[in-house]
Amino acid sequence: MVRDVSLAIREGEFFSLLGPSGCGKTTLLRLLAGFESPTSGEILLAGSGVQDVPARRRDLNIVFQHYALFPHLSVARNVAFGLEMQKVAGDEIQRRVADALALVRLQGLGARMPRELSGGQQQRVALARALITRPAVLLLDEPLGALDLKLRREMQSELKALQRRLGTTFVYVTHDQEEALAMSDRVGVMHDGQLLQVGAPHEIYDRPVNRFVAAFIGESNFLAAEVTGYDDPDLIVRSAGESLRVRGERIAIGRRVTLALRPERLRIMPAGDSVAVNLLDGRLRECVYLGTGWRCEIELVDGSVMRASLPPQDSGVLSVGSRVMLTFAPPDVAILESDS
Amino acid sequence: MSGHGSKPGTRAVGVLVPPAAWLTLLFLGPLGVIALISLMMPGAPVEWTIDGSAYQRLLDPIYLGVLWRSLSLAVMATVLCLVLGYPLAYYIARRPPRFRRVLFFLVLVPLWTNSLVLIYGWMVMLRPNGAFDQLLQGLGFGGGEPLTILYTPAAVILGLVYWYLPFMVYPLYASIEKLDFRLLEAARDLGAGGLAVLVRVLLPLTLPGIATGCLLVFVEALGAFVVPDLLGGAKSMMLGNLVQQRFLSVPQDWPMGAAAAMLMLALLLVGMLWASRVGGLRRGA
Amino acid sequence: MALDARAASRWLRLASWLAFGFLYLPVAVLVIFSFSASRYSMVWSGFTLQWYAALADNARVLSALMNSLIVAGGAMLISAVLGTAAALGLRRARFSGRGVLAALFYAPVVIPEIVLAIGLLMFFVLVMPVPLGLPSITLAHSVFGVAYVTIVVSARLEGFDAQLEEAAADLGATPWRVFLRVTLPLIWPGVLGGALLAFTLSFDDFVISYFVTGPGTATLPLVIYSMVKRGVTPEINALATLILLVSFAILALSIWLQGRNITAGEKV
Repeated sequence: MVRDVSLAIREGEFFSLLGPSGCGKTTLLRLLAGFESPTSGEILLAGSGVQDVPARRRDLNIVFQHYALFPHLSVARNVAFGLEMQKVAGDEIQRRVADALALVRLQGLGARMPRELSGGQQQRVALARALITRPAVLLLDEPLGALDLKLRREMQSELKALQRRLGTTFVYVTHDQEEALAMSDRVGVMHDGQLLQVGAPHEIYDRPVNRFVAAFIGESNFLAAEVTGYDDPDLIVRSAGESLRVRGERIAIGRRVTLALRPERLRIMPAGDSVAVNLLDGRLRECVYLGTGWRCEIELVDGSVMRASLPPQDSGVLSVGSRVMLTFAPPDVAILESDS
Repeated sequence: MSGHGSKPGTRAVGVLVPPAAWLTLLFLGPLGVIALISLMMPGAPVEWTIDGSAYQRLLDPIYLGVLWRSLSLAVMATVLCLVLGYPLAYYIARRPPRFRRVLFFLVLVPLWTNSLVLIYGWMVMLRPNGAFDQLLQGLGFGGGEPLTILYTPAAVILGLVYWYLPFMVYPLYASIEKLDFRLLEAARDLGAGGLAVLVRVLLPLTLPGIATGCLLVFVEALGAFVVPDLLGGAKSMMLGNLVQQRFLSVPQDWPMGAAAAMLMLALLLVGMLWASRVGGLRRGA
Repeated sequence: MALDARAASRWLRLASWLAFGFLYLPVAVLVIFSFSASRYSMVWSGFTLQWYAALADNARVLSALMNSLIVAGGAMLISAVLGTAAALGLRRARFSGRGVLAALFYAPVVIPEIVLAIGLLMFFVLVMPVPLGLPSITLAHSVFGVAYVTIVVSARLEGFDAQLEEAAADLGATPWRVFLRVTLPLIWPGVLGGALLAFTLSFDDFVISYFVTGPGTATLPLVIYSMVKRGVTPEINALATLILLVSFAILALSIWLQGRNITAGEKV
């Protein structure tokens, strides 16, 4: 189910639809492809409405999650399928199939049958098959979902490079936020059938528009706060018993907001005097070693628990149970409406 | 934009039109004609005047015997099919998957090849001085007199069970196959003896299959006409033979034959509602 | 407890094999005695093929055989096309009347044959005039033929990955080309298996043929019936054996085709 979605994807961009299972991202993709019909609204491709155009005549092609390779046709015949439908001449088909296979680094495997190939290879055949007709838009439905981690990382950079090279618009569906942030020019976050936020990866990450986005992308700490004043370009808020400065546009004094703080933006210091702008008192509850550093839990004075990252070089000074202070810079906070 | 509806769905309807039209014409059409004619007067072959007397003629004392015999023979055949078919269905369902297909197919083969010819085979065996007779004489039974199984109700029941056994085995097998056999093991584990497991676990859980199988055999057996014709003789006339006579011999009485068919259809419908209720209870439990 | 289970399973096996024996006893009897030289068929008196030879000279049997083949062939073709269409349509359609429509396709299998037979007879005589003979029998057989093919092909389509058809459409194939290039190549064993089943059922059908045939037209089962009514003879045994053998062979082929795996078209 998809509700009230309004979205404009730019030509030539790598756009990701990100969200948890069931959020409607695949449905949205299928609406674009033409396998589902919208109950209301329109779909415009290069300016003209295509919601009534059947899938076969839309200038977009889709790569399915489980590849959907025709099991009774060879790799070459699979890839050639779209061209055969367009009644392209035989020798040109041969030439273009060879080019397409070379593009996805599968040259020479044309005679094989899909079941003889590995998952990664099958995925590349699906890619070649979809790209050979040079569609304006390529839709990808979690194409890397069935691959193991290492292969997934490899394919991510290959796909990104491919998209840059071809200039085709890619619409990429995934539930893996790292993947979306790494590959995309812009990301659209979806939840429960609705599009919550659209923006460049760093925008989504640093300026989440609501609590769901802040929690779904990376990790966030949430603090309830109340606006008490202004000191442009910052706001003064009261939270966890302290007065804090956060970067943001003016909001009415007295309004309640939620602050979203990422663990890696919080610095942990031993308790003591400091001239840092934002200071939260707390006690170090626990630290977990991650290899790249530590992830620590700090209990604040008001009982709320914050998670902060601790780089390895700072770890020597602190001990579990000791009093500490958390600090962060004003621009490193996202301000969310309190009921989001 | 909002959406969930499916364009492919509407396209698919087109392909359904020819077969649906074909069956509406050649299947529903005949069923409708049966209903219609059952209300007409007999003629050559039919007088187009609405009457209804066909049903009364069906219940005439002369035919009541036929009706009663059909019902009782069908019931007996159903019970025997259940008794014979349940172990068979269970056995097949417990084989490894490779054998299951083959065994199941072997059960259907007699029905799907040529039942007529096979009933003839029973004739060959059961008639006086036939194969069984010779065998029993040879073993010392019978006391020198030729066997009289053929042309008795016993032969008819045997033929009915033979012909309609697959109709019982199919739904039973389908039902048993879906069973989680660990439930039986659990019952055993909790101390239930074989009989208790059968009665308290197996039978209740396969009740939908049992209901469907019994319904199918009963209704089909009611309409049997080859078996009573070849194995039963004049004394064992059943509903099917009655219908045959009213259509293809004299005196012709198409409305009455149609009325008999309506009776069978009514029983089928009632039976299906009952069977689905039984199946529904299962699901709710 | 364990003893109980083992004894029970032994009884079960015994009961089942007795049931199989029961089912195939007439087959054995017919086959054996079709080769027996004894005219009164119950005493074995030497091996002979004379009864089979006699069949080859029996013009009535041969013409009935030809009729049966024509009817079965025609019914098979109609059933294969319409049944496959029905199976495809039922699988993809998602409208509200779907359950009722599906019931229409399964009903001919459940209806007692004699009901369908007289219904068709009356229909052909009183409503839609169809000459009683090969045409009426062929049409009549196609009724249950379509139902069986629908069932068989639907079963085959269960494991069929719908995304293959979507992929083909996405790449520019019209619905007809999707069917020809993707669907049919993957389901053809099921379609052929269903077609052969329809052929066999038509070839061996008696009840429906008996009622809707016309004067002078006989299919093989009808000829057998009239021979049987006149009395048991060894020629019938030979004919019966042949018809059983042929039907069994076609049926076995049909079942084998139905069971063949779709080449990796499985849903992941």
